[in-house]
Amino acid sequence: MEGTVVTALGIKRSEKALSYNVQEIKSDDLVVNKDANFINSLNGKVAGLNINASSSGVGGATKVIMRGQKSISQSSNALYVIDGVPMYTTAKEGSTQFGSQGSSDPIADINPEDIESISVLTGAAAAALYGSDAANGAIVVTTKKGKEGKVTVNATAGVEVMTPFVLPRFQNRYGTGDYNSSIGSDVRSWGQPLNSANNYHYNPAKDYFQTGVTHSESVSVSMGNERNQTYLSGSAIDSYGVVPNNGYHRYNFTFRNTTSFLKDKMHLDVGASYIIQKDLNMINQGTYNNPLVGAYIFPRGGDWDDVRMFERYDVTRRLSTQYWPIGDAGMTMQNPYWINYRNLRENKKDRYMLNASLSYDILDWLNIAGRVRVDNSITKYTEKFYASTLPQLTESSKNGLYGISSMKDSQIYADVLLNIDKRFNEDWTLQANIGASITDMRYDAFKNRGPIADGEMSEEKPGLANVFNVQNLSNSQKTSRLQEGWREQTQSVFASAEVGYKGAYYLTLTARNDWPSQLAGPHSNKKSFFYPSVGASVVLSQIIPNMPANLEYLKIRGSYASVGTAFERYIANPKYKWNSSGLSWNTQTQYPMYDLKPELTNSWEVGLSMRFLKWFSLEATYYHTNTKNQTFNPQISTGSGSSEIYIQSGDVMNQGCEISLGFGKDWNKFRWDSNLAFSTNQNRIESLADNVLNAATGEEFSVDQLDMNGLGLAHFILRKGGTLGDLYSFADFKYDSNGMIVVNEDGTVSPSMIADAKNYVKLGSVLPKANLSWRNDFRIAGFNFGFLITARFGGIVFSSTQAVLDYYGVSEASAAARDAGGVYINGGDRVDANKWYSSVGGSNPLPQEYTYSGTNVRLQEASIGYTFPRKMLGNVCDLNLSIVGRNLWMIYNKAPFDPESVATTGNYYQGIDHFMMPSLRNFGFNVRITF
Amino acid sequence: MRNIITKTGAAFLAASLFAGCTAHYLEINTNPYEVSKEQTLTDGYAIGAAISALCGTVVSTDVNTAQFTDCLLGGPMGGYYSTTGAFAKTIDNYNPTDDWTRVFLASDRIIPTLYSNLNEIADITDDPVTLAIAKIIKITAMLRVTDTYGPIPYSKIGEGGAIAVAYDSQEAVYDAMFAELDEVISTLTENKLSGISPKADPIYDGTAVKWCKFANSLKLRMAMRISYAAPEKSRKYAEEAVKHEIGVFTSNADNATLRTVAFGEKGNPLYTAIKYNQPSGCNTGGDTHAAADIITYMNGYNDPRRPVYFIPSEFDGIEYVGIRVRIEKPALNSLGRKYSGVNISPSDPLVWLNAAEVCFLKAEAEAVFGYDMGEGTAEDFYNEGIRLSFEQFGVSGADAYLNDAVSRPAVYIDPAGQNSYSEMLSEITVKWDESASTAQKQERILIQKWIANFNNGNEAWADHRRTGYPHLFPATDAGNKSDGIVSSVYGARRMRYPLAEYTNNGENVNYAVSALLKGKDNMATRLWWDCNPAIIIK
Repeated sequence: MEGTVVTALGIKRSEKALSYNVQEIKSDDLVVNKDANFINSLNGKVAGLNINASSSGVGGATKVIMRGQKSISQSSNALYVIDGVPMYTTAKEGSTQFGSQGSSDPIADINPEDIESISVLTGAAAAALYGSDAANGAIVVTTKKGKEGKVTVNATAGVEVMTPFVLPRFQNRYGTGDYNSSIGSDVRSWGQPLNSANNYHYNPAKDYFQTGVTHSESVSVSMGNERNQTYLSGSAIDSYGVVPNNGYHRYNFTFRNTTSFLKDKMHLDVGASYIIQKDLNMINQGTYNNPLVGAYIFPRGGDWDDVRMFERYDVTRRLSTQYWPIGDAGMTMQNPYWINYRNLRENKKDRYMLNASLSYDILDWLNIAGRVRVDNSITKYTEKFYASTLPQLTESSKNGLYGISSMKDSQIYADVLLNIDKRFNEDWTLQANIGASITDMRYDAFKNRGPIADGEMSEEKPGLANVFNVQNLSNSQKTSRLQEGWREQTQSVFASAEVGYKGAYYLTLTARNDWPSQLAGPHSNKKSFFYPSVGASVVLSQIIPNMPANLEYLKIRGSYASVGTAFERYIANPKYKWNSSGLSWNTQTQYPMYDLKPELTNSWEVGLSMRFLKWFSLEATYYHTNTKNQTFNPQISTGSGSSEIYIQSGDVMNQGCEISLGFGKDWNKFRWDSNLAFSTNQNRIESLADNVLNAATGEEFSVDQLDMNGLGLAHFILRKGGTLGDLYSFADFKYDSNGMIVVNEDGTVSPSMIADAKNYVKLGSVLPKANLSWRNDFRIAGFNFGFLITARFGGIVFSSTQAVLDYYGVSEASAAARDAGGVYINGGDRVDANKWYSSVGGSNPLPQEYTYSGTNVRLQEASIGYTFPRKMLGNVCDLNLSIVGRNLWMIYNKAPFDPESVATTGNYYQGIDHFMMPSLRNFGFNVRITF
Repeated sequence: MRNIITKTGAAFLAASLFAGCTAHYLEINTNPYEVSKEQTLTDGYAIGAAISALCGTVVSTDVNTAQFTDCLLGGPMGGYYSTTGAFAKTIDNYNPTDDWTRVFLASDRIIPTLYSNLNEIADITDDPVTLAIAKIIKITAMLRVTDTYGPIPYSKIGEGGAIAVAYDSQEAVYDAMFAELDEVISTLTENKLSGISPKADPIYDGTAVKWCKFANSLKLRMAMRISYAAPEKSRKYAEEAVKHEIGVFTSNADNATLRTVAFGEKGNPLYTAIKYNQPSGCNTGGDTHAAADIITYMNGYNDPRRPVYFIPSEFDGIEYVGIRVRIEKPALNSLGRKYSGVNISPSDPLVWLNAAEVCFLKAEAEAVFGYDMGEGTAEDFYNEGIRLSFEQFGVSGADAYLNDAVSRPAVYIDPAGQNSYSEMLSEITVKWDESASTAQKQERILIQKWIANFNNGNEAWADHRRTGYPHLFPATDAGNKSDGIVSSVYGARRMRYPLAEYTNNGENVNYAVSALLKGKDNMATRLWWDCNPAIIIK
């Protein structure tokens, strides 16, 4: 009935004593239907955990938000904690706008098979002990260790096929051309209807996308005796994506040993992991080097087989050059296959993690422990663009481009912790920890990138085409040499105490002081900051004498926490920057600002836990957070002589609730578990900057809106009273006095820019209003069957992809409009379809026309499996076979892409689709054998 | 027990101690790949770096900035370039988005870079020559800004650390600039034998007297700009500049030319910007091609500078043909690429002001406004301007060219057949004709000035607005997407203020529009100096 939960610093706590929301997930829930990035497997399993899978495909960086977006300029992504030690994410955000480089995340390197359990701490209260990064909630992972007893060997193998899940709808009944242009067009598909004689029936889904395959194998060995336990594992994942020549490969090796000695008073736990990870052509979105642009737009009168042969031998050059007669359409469009095979972008990563912890039980109630963890990775990123790649992408060279970056990330974490766990008499218990920690993170990179000289783009003799190494790079300024890096260190002391009375009343206090290196510098006058939390819980079912019999357990809880966060590194200590457009060290253009102070999140939550009617359980939490003193750098009028100013102001509020209702019942051999998880969050900007004093001048100034950019004419604009996800359009149709859209004499409509910022058209907020998931697991004898339905309600998304497809006349919408004789507006006015989509669509479209509801419902997961009884297999092993699927059925969705897919983990690009790689539908077959 | 408590106490104390070791934090929080102010002072590096950064704010050495200001704005408006990239909304078509038109005033690469480096220089040195050079560069850069918008913040920029700064009327901006120029001219005259480190100056190798000539020439350029708006001041400043003991440019060695050393990774920014999105296998250019206007004139005159200015077209048998600016643009890959390109090499320097322009300024001042330009007639200045231009581009045949009294600008035959223009834009020949009307003289001078100023589109646009010359092809009905705001014949007169000004500096920009600009904040409102009585825009 009463469980313990792993909370901060790997400390196990009684569920009763928790004053905040913690939800636990067992290993089985992750590995049955496992994703290469295990974080994706958490989707729908925890109330309040919002997961957006990356469009970068297998292994991509996932955006994880709990309790809403809190910070204007800093990350609101959750903190990951592995065996009590934070793993700070240094994931590079994926490209936005033109760029198309996808990104992975350090957390995605973890082998899901090594995970014992996961606790999700959705609030800041739980995390006060992890420091600032946990203000956004924490995902606490406990990994497996060796078990006492006989040797257990666990082997798994799985194969999964992947297909695009949600694609735009295309047409192939109108051919190449442009009936409104006297010069026609060889890239648009606004030509004559095709007939059986000339229709090649090009369909990107069938002709370009391929079926992706992921296969994974893993083996783990666990052994040990009373004193010493060992765990060893290895795994391999090889994945080939839905576009040609895209792959993700990962090999994990893990070792862990736990030993007790000195009469069982001293415990040593050492572990090591080694990870080799590679990915090739991980693409998230954008138009540069993105094969989808060409694959989607390919004019419909054309024969795809003609461009399938993407290169042709050039006799004079004696090399093969790109074949793509369609041109770049001003969108740097190339032959998709050329991009796949001749614009190669590859990451190779070597990563190792070492950890050791030593603890000593001084007394049966007093223990001291020290831990250290080292996590280093070296990544090599190369770009090889072959000769005849669009010059726009090769710094104008006809001979190709080469780039190589070596990046090193290192993290060291160490702590000492004194733990007290004492029962004083029958009634009183005390659990306390006092500790100190140090975190040191470094990043260092060396980057070389440039064109191979071709005798024209610079005045030097040509280099040799398609030879990709540094000595073959152009010697002109166009070859960039760059070193970059940073270091951050935080030292902390912290303490927590939990006092229990009669196993029914609990009071928890925590306190932490951080000394982050980011605060050092002449522009800051604080060296450290302190933040406390307080929480209480009462188990009512234990203290109220006549509780109804149907209410087996009832606990109420409440907590308050304050978490400080340092501002960005270096802003307290600005220096002279390298200016690549002048090749010199120059002063910065920010307005100088002093007296910087840390950001502060104050939050409180109340909740209840209950179990009732034998089979039901309920967890409910209401929370409220305010994030204040946010540091951001809005642009200011250049009349100031500066470009931007760091200000510290602002207050972002988030409030909402998390409810999960569980049911579980056995009927003989049959068991049914069902869980409904619901969460809702309201995000509101309480203030940006109202009358902030500029200490330098005594001048007060206010910021009434912040433009956080976005895509094209759709920008995220932050205003008081709005949300951090409000997307606005900078343009609108012209309307006549009756509110009708003005149609020009030539039959076009002309959206125009809105002059006054106050009149920007609000498209909506990209943030969801609520998320719901419903999970069911059935078990009968050796069979199990499960499914998970997830839904997101509210919020909007914007598809510039659809706008471009409409403009080029390759979307079904554009064909349907032609079939219907035009687009009908103003309740009956007919506008020529081509003129309409040429006005509102294209690469800089009118966002209003391409904004969709983000509400969607899907069958997120389903699995069916059978475990052969050991007896049946001669007591040699357990054998489990399962068929699994993810993203199986989009039950409701009005957008032309998967609204839950994101190109980057950054805040101000969510909900924007700009030739984003489609999310994936997966079907898999897994075998699991346990000896 | 006591022992244990002591031990744990000691352990905890040790823990607290290590948490207190933050002495090296300043080092940690120092970017290892940036430098300190002290470091930049080594070997006078800081002055050179700051002057180089200042130089990068005139025609920005940042490619994207220069693309907006010179390739997509000045170039097309001045009749040199035509935007051929696949853009939905362009300045060519008078329907640009804010991010295209705001750059001069909103980019951090122009005003903030300018003022942060001016402060930097003022902070490091009080050497009058260095400060004078910095000021001249500032005026060169800011002149382009005011000529784009009209009233701008100028006299109060950065004053007292204020964040919201008032605008000056354009007249006040010009007055302030003239006053500053007078000040630097007298400083540099006093110090004419001195200079600064040659390595710190990518324009004149630190020679004070050359900077003084540039200041005088710039003063002459500005004086002629206000020839209609403030005739008295115009005459005064023009005559002062020419008669000054150091005087104005007389040879190409005087030209204000930013050399390659000041460029960034991408080399000549115009080259890179013009080549953006160049289709595979094409060498005429990408986002930008040569305009029909300039090529039509030069074809008519059989101008021998064409091979230096342009890349031959891809049309069979047609060497030079430009694409019209204000039309519905064809697709780059199929048709746009075929027109002649702009011939700039990555290692070409950027010319801010050349000696030919100075001659034409003098010719106009003398012939049209009767200013006293010292020794020489308008004809002399005109012919000298042509000779200097030929010399600057390394082209021979100037004498034959300037004696050609027959050739006239061609008519424009669009090889694609879409946008031919049957009328001649001008009847003017090259050879000077003293008996011609004042208007004809002005047109003749401005046509040759325009040809000589190739690639300096913003200056050409200003001349076109001020004088109406040279005549440029009007916008076609399909090409003018301004909804009737901008005249198809006379073209855009200014750019809109950045939208961000309305949020970040609302009070001041609103005041500037109503009280200083005295017209709507759109592309049709005429600037203070744009008041030639001969130009009547309905």
